Amino acid sequence: MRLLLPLLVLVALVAMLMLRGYVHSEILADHRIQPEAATDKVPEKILEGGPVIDTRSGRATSMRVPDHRLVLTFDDGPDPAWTPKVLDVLKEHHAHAVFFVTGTMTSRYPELVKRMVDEGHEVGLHTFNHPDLSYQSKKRIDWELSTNQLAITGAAGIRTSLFRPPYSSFADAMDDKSWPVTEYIGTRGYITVVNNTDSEDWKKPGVDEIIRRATPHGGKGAIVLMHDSGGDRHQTVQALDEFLPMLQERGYTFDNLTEALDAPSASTKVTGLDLWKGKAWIFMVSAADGVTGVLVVGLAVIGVLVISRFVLMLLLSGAHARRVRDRRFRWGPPVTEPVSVLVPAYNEAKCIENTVRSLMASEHPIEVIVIDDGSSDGTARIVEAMGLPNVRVVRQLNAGKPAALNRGLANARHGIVVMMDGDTVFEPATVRELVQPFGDPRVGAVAGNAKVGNRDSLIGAWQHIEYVMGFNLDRRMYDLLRCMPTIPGAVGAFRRSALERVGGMSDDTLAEDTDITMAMHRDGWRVVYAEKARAWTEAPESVQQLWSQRYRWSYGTMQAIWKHRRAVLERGSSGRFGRVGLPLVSLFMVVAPLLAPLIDVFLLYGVVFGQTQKTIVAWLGVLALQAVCAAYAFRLDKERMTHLISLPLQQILYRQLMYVVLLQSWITALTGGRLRWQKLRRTGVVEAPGGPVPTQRSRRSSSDRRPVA
Amino acid sequence: MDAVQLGEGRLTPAPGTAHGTGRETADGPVFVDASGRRSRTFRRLGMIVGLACAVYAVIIVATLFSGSSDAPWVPVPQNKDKPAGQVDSSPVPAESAEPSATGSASPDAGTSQNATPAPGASAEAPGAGSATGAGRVDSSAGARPTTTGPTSGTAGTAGGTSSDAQPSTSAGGTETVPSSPAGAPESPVEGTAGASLLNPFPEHNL
Repeated sequence: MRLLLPLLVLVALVAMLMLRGYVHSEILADHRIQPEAATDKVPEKILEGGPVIDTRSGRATSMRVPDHRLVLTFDDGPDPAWTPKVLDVLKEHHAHAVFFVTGTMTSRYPELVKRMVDEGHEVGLHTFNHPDLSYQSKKRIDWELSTNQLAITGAAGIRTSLFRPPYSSFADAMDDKSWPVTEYIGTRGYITVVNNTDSEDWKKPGVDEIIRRATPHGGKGAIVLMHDSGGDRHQTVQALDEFLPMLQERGYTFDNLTEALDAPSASTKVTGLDLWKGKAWIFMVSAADGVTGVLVVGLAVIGVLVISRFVLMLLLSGAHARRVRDRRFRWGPPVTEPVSVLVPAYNEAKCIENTVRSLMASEHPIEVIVIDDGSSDGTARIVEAMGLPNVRVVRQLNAGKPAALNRGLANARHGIVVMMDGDTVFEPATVRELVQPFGDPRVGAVAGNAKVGNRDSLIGAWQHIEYVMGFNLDRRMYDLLRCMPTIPGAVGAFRRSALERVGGMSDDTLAEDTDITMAMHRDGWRVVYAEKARAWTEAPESVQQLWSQRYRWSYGTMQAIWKHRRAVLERGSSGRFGRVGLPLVSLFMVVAPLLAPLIDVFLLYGVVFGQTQKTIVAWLGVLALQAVCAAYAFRLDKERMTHLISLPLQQILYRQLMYVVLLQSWITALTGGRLRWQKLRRTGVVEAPGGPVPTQRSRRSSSDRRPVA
Repeated sequence: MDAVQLGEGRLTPAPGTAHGTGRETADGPVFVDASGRRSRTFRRLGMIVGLACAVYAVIIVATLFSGSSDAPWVPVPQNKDKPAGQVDSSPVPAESAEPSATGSASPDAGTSQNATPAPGASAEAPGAGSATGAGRVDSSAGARPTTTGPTSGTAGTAGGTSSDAQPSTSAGGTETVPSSPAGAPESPVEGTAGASLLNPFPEHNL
């Protein structure tokens, strides 16, 4: 069920996009025009005959319009701008005309075709999207005719028996390529109507010239070709306004075709299933147009967001780096007092020894508290067996990470608390760098620089890029904007008094790190980024583990935003965070990922159906922009650029994975299901470079439990 | 060594902290709805949306691929390549006064001249039927009864109004066309009958 619904929505979306493309002549449009051919196969009497050609039932006869009767014909309509004006002029002078409408335009502006029929004009077929029929197969011709009729039925409830082929002109212009088409059209029961007087109004030669060309000689009857669409038709409208009364004074009547031939109407009313099919068609076209219109707006929004994020990132991270690297920069007096390091651990038997030993190499005085959260693999014993002096082990029944951290807090002795994960490896300088910002009394929490240790696999490399460019570059930006949303659980430091003020860690959300950081902001504390406090973490190696981790993060972030939503209305520092920080975070971490699939949808559509070249060039442009940002981020962090090679692939596969994750978290959030805490399977492959810690290299494939909602 | 600390190791907020800006505790995890009510609502919503999408896609395919490209049959008059003057002989009664002169096919000579040429006229009727085959071919070739009344039957020419003047004759005229071989023996009778009705010289009828 969870998979079925998004799939169905996607199918409907694709159908809508394709429908819209079809009626906007982006799909299946054929713009070739046949060059002139010989005429030896066309019957003489047709070439010399009138403009109304009847090829039904095997005949080949043509008819002329009787004298003093003019049949105005308008091709390629209806047009939203000019057809109403033409209709107004015709109505004013009590004239009738024939409109040869295309299916595409009829589908988009059905009310105009209805108006044509209501005001007594005749409607004829002009194919669906105007291909040269001499290039098309019989099946395609049938398709063009039936869809054109479908559109007209839906618009005005009629079926017509008149047809004018695209790119037609006079009867003597029939040639060996177009005559077989006309014959075939006749077998379908249509009367083919070409013209014998070309006003050439599409060339816009001036009102007088149009009138001159449209006037027949010697009182003869004529079928006049005019256009109500395809450009600026104000000359046509003006010409009509003068032409109609002028010729009416001379004794002409302006009729539609069957009136001029004194025949019954060529429009037949449609009822029953066919009528409903036509109406359904019109409804679906307008739905498709509406929905894709909304999607295009969404695409514009995400486009703006993505570009502005890039710009902000580049500008602000540069500013941040410059500021903290300035030789004269100081947070305040150096911090030398000992700190407490909390290490919550659940079944970390493989990594806990590495972790603790790395802490022992710390250059800053620390006490280590390992909180065993009810492990079943003897994590606590391993630590105790190490017998290190300033390491304490605290056990509790399994209650989750927030509870473990709170217990650690309760047992901590010092005023500054560092929180990490059971599988994170610190460098000797990490703790010192992490706590220096507390020299500034306004600082309540510090985020460290989490790095991906296992970056050599493809999935590790992708996450490495993500950490360096996304998380760390973002953190510099958020630091300056005073709205850092998350202190990484792998490396973060807090002022104990600040934690006590806000009530410690909470298990209201799955992202307790985000939750506590937001609470800090609302309490008025500054949250900053210490770029030199590096910690090495093990990123998930399998897609399932990665998905599980991101699912938790995504869902947890949404929970935290929602929990702190009242900050928007509050005053003081809480209000500032609520009105600046929260919207920014929501925009970039919730809205943008939600709209990002639109990029892929339109990319696919553009490549397959639209202008392939332009779409690909645009995509490459965005990729280049991202590469620039990534390269800048790598340089700031002094990382080697080699891992950037997997950036293009990351854009194609990795991002799509995150869509599914985000979709799942939205569904879970909306339906109110409960998730179980998911744990990463540790494999102990991470080490700090140049550290004294021995490495354990044992990879094992994992079969993680699925998160449950 | 294996002592486990019990109880919640949770910190209590310091007294006097401004709780307006402090943190709020949600009652239980955020978003989780233990009663399942929201789940049911959204499940229903999801099913409706899914159904709408499926229906949309199916109907598009159905309407696009099940149409027919045929045109409804409509009769269109044949104006042969006659000189312009004759093409639209208007239904002015003056013209119909000289049926023989114009060679008009309609057996609607509503004047006394019909009396004598009645047999001739009626003899013409089937002939006229075939002579104006061009005009009536539409009705017979189309193999459909005239859909819109007398006008089409009489080739849309002046016959329209004049046939109204003599309903019986024109009725006879239209009837002869489809059944001309069989109806031929009848037409002289009808022709004379019709002519006799209007014949101001009754002595010729016997």
